Amino acid sequence: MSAPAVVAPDTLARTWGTRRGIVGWLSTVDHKNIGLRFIVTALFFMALGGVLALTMRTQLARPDNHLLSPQLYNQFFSVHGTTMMFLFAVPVMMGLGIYLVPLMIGTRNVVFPRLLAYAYWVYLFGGLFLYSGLLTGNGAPAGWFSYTPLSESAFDPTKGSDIWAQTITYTEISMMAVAVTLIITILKQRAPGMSLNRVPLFVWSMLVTSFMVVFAMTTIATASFFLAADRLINTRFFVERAGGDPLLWQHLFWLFGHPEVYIIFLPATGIVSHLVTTFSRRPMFGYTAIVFATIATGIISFGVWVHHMFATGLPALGLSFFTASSLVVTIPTAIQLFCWIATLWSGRPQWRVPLLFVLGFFFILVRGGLTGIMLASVPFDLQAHDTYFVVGHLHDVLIGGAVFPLMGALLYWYPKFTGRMPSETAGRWAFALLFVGQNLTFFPMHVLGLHGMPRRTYTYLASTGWGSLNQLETIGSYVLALGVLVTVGNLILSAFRGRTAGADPWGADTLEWATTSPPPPGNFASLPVVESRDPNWDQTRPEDRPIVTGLPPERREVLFTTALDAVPARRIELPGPTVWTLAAAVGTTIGLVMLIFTPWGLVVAALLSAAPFIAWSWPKVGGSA
Amino acid sequence: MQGAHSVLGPASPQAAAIAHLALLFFALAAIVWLLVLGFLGYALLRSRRLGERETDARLTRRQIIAVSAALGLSTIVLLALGFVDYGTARDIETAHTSSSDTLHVRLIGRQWWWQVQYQQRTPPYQVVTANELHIPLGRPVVLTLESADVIHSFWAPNLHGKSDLIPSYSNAFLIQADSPGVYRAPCAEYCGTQHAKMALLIVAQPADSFAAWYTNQLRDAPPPAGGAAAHGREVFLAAACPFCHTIRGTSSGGNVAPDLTHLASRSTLAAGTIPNHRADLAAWIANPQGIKPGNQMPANLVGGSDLNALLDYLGTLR
Amino acid sequence: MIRNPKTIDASALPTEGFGVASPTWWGTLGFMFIEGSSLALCAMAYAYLSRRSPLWPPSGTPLPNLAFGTVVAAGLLVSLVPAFLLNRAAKRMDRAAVLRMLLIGTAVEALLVMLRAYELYALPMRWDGTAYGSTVWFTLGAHSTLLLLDFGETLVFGVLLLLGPVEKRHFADVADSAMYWFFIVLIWLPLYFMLYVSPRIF
Repeated sequence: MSAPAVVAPDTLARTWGTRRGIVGWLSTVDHKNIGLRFIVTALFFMALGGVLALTMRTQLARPDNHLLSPQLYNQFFSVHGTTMMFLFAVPVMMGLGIYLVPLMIGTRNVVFPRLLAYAYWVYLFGGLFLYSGLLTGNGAPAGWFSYTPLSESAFDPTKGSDIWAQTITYTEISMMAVAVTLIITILKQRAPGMSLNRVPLFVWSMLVTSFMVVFAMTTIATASFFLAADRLINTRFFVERAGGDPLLWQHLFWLFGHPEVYIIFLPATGIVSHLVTTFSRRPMFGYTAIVFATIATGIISFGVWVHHMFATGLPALGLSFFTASSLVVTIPTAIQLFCWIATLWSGRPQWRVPLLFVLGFFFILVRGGLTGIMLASVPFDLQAHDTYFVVGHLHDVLIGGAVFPLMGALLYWYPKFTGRMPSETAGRWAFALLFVGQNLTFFPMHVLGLHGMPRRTYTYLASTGWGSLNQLETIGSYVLALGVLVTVGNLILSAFRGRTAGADPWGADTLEWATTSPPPPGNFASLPVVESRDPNWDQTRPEDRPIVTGLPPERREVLFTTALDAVPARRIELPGPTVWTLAAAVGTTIGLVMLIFTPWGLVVAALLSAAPFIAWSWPKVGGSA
Repeated sequence: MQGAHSVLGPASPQAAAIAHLALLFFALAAIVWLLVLGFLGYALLRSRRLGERETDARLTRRQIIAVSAALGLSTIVLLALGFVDYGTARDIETAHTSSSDTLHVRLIGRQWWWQVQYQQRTPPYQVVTANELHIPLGRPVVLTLESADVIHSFWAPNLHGKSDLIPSYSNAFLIQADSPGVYRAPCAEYCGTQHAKMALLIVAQPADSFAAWYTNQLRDAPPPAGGAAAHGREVFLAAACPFCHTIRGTSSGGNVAPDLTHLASRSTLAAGTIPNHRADLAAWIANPQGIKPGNQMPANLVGGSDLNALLDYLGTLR
Repeated sequence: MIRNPKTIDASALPTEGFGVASPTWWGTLGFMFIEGSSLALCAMAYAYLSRRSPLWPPSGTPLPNLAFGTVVAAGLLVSLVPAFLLNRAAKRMDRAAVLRMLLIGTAVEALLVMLRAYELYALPMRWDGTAYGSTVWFTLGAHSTLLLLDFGETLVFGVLLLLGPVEKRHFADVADSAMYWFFIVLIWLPLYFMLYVSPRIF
């Protein structure tokens, strides 16, 4: 007797759904809920980081300004950078991945749903912990990169650098849990027929990114542990007087730090691939080249870190290697750019707002990539390093290269998230404000850097002549902020006033558009079988497409397939909702907060996390958990 | 007081080489950027409007050619940039006047000021000053860059790129000024609260004025002649100043703050923050935290006539 | 309802599997990568900082006791035998044999944890005197955390197998934990060599 192929909605909701009310909200393991939580929380932190930036820009609008004391300004730029890099950019991309990947590969949930739920709470608590430091006069004072010896206890007697190091630990635990979950889900839970050469490009980008997270975040976690130990129990990793080395910190940090920016950029390229495909109505030209380019970028990005250290006095021969690798790393990105242009050329451009963000991406990111190439040159970098030239470059590649695609993604997948269309008019206004604001704020910085303005300075003398460009940049930052407000307003209001959206309002090619908007619990009424790279464009009628039958609908079962060709191999049962994940996260938090005061915090963290972890993994009486 | 501080106003052979490289980079970058946007615009405005599953072998061939050509061109341009960059680096290495008359100066970065020590072969073996570096035109100067606390960075954009001052490391850095002038070198590695107000002024002068300046720096401070200045000296020695500062020729020996022996010969105070005029110096002594909050110098309860006398004395330290 | 002939009937697929067919095997692999990288970084810090000091260990600091370190390393190697037997019993899904090996494993791991604790206690230097002390303590300490973790895991599995209910997939989980034990022992070997042997040879 075979189970019904198409599962009735109420059965689906009973098996895969989340209870209503506060208990349901705290215990959910639905990847869609958790993915949206990551995204919303990340946008919240982006807003906080943005407020810090606006305050800094206001301080810098005039020379010799007194809005912020130097101590406060220094904490502001440190927390701004830490927020944007650790609490916004990576979590938002991972959040998109958590939401979209199971839908795009045709499964019902991720392989470790409870680990995912735990990862969210740890991220939230870690982020709040960083701000508790700022609000109590213990804001991280040593920059988002926390160079030693400045971040050692001799030069930072506050708790700021301890809180910074622990925020890293929280984010590391969270992001690595998500990464491992995504890797295994992508490799082993794809719809039958979705061999590796049919995997959507955003999923590929999340796979490569997740591998990078595993290696890069381990590095920063270990390094921040060394720093925390130097401060807490007087180890000597970075203390030069006892055999330590301040440069060791820089090597470890940048070994993480450079892959970090590609961890942020590669998912954005995945997004751009989908936007280009949908808004030109054409399959991607050079799919295989883009896959290899993504993998190549991921690997090469681990071999360029010394370009952040050209001024430290390392031997010149070694530096040349890193110039070469830093030049080479741009080639795979160039491949992606040209393939996107070729795809757009072959199709019919649909002039909707997400395509505008792709154009903005090209305009700004290419500029940022070119200034990056300049910075690969040692002689030029020795002039531009640690000046506003680099601030301009990094905001070009991060805002143009990641935030613009993100904005496009939020508007593009909004109907899938909410079942309503976002406002096209508001989207156009947002794009215009963001585009003008970004360029006005960050292009002049290249000029300022060449005119001698160093980074991380809370004020400057009037006689430097930097005042007018700084004022222009400050105005630009307010325009940028307005663009963000319009976007957020659009996202919030359209949930109430937007037109109802069907399953596939854009006419797109991937599987998330083959189910309702928003998708039901369990994602699909029937699990799809895939026969091409763009299954939603298959000529057969949706109800005639092949599906998977035989999985009992009252159990949370999904297919576990082979890694290369997605041949079904097992039926596995996924765990359901539990509040033990929240309890474990609370336990981890208590321990990590204690750790800034005493090393016994580590033991507390372990014990208070392990018990709930065992509880959530323990099999339920009468069947699987 | 200010001093030039621009990458695009080179006053040395090294900076000139970098400026040329920079201009080449900018021109090339602008061209590439316009080309990419041009191709993008062309693709959007002259798109071929094929259907989702349509294939057109000719179009595909053209796509392959176009993408391969673009990639090939990009690779060639990158290779060329690599070679030009390598060439510039070699030029910089050999760009100084080959001279056996290299000046050696030790720069020690401290939070938040620059200690300057000229190494000599004859007594007093070192000339010590602070926040102002005088160098002769046309002669190579090898700086030994060290730090007494955290990482700082030496950067005079008109003269060269930057080089870090890292505790437990000693970086040798060669500069040479070919044009006379005053060049500003702001600290270029975030070093704490007052990183923003830690600038070194570099005065590049002809050989004879440099020699005169140097000879003057060798002298200890002479005992003051007049009454007020002499009283000022007593004020200095009785206050907290000698705990941190040294005036050679007095009994003071503090070495954690700038050497004041020739204070009046410097054009700025507090590492390039305020001009060295009487009123500014008075404000600085009375309330350093008001001018450079967070710096290591405490307020000094020297007021009224004592302050005036102190200022008179300090004014004699040329 | 006419269904596409390419429709797949999954009802005959097994629900349990070992190795690549088991989700927790992949999760364990991920954890091995993460922890392995972390230990590699500790070793890299040790190696990097050793190049910065003229004397390594610095003068006045003796090397850790070779005999004792070798005893612990040998003990770890010997413990691979019960781990191997546990793995085999798990693959056979023999509940009684698995329970037996889990109990033996718990006892062996408890002994090793105590030996390792003494090894740490007997280190001739503290972590806060020199960089040498810090890197040695951290490398040993990080590895000891993994030892403790696996000891805890073995204990929990023992309780689970004892109390039940035991499902087929739990045997896969036990096999994964045996694999993890192999990882913990094998990764110690190069670290043992680095900390105890190579300073005496080179």
